[in-house]
Amino acid sequence: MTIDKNSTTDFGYKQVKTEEKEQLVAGVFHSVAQQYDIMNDLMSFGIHRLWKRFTIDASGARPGNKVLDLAGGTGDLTAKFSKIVGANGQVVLADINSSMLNVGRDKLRDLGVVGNVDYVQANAQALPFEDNTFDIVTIAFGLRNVTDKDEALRSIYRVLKPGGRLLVLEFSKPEHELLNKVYDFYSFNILPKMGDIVAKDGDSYEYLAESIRMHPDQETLKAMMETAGFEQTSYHNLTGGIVALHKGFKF
Amino acid sequence: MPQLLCGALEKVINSTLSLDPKQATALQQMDQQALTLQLQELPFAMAFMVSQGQVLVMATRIEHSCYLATDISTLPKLTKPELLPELIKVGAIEIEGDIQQAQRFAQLGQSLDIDWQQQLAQHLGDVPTHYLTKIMQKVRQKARFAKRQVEQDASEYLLYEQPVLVNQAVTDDFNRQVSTLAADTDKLEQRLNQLKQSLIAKE
Ligand SMILES: C[S@@+](CC[C@H](N)C(=O)[O-])C[C@H]1O[C@@H](n2cnc3c(N)ncnc32)[C@H](O)[C@@H]1O
Repeated sequence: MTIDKNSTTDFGYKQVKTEEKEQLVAGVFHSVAQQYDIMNDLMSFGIHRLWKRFTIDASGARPGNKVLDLAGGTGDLTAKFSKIVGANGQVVLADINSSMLNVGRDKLRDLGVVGNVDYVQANAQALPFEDNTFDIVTIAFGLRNVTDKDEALRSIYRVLKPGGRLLVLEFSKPEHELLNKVYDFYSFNILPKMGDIVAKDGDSYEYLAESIRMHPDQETLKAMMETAGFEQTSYHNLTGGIVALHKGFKF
Repeated sequence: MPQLLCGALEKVINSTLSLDPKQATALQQMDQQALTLQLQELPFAMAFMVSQGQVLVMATRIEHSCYLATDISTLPKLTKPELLPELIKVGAIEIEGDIQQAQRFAQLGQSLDIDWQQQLAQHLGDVPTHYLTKIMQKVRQKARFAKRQVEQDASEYLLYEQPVLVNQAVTDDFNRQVSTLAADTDKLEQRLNQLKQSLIAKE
């Protein structure tokens, strides 16, 4: 893709210069890094743990696998994968944000997760790995923050081994109108307030709510994955479609 | 959601294991070994994998692991190797892969002295959400269904199969436990509703 200096992209509901989005997103995650885990539990009533479990269960990971936990942040998925792939396997926790990586590294060390985990600061749009490296790539609640999602999907496709699979866990579009309304009210009224009170950062949580609404819905994301080359793509709605897990293979 | 059950099982198993230092060597020897268990009573398979002295529980079938399909009442019999040929013959269990591996898991399971019902109720109660209400309703329906199913299966088994194998007292006890679990989930649901009401009242 050619970068047009004047092109704009979404940052939540605002339009910003394409080259600015990355920095703005970085600002958000630098500022929420310390409270990230607590807020996750609070905001989702703990359900994000079940969504992540579902992702692990659907990944088909087994001992010896090489796994990339992209936009891995504080490393919830990495911790689980590390145990499954064992000493002969490897997990790479990659994130564009050094604050999130640091919080993740400390947390995993405290949990005793060491040995088969590597930490890499990287942009999903330009992954610093050889072609055909990983059996599994996951990106959980990360894709919507990426400026050029198509480029990121192509980059992921490149680093997957043939036979490997991508799992995208991301907020999506609730299946029912009523749930949609309740969820909207929650996201735009309650969530930023919680962010304000607990993390002292209402703006960042407003961005989160907006970025969720701007993210492609189930079918659109599925089509984007196919355009990037993925095959046998499918998705599974969780919690009424508030979140969806997309899956696709490289052959 | 199967993940709720697996998460709770994982917590209960590991907190019990951590209280029993004798298990450490057994776990070490089983590192990275896995067993996929398909219980007749559940609509999904569960995989148990030992890793770094802990047991992971996942709602999935792990390829190339030992695979075992059976029902809850047969499970305790797996620790007795002498019963296996008969159990396989009558179709009470179906095994693919390393039988000894399955037995090591069965032994581990048996050596855990767990009051399942109490533990699960406690850990499931940990998940703090109105969502639980819904999930609990489903669990309760499932529990009721399982209970009916077990009663039916057990009586058929008693009538037509091998009367000696199923001990009436054991089935009764199990059925009682299932009923208590259903009652417990009712109570939990009420508690959650109260909580929800008080939250709404505060807003
Ligand atoms: C909401 S967090 C998700 C963290 C973790 N995966 C989880 O589920 O808890 C989003 C993460 O995406 C990272 N991120 C945003 N843009 C990125 C990019 N272009 N490349 C890699 N990571 C990115 C952020 O730094 C942040 O840590």
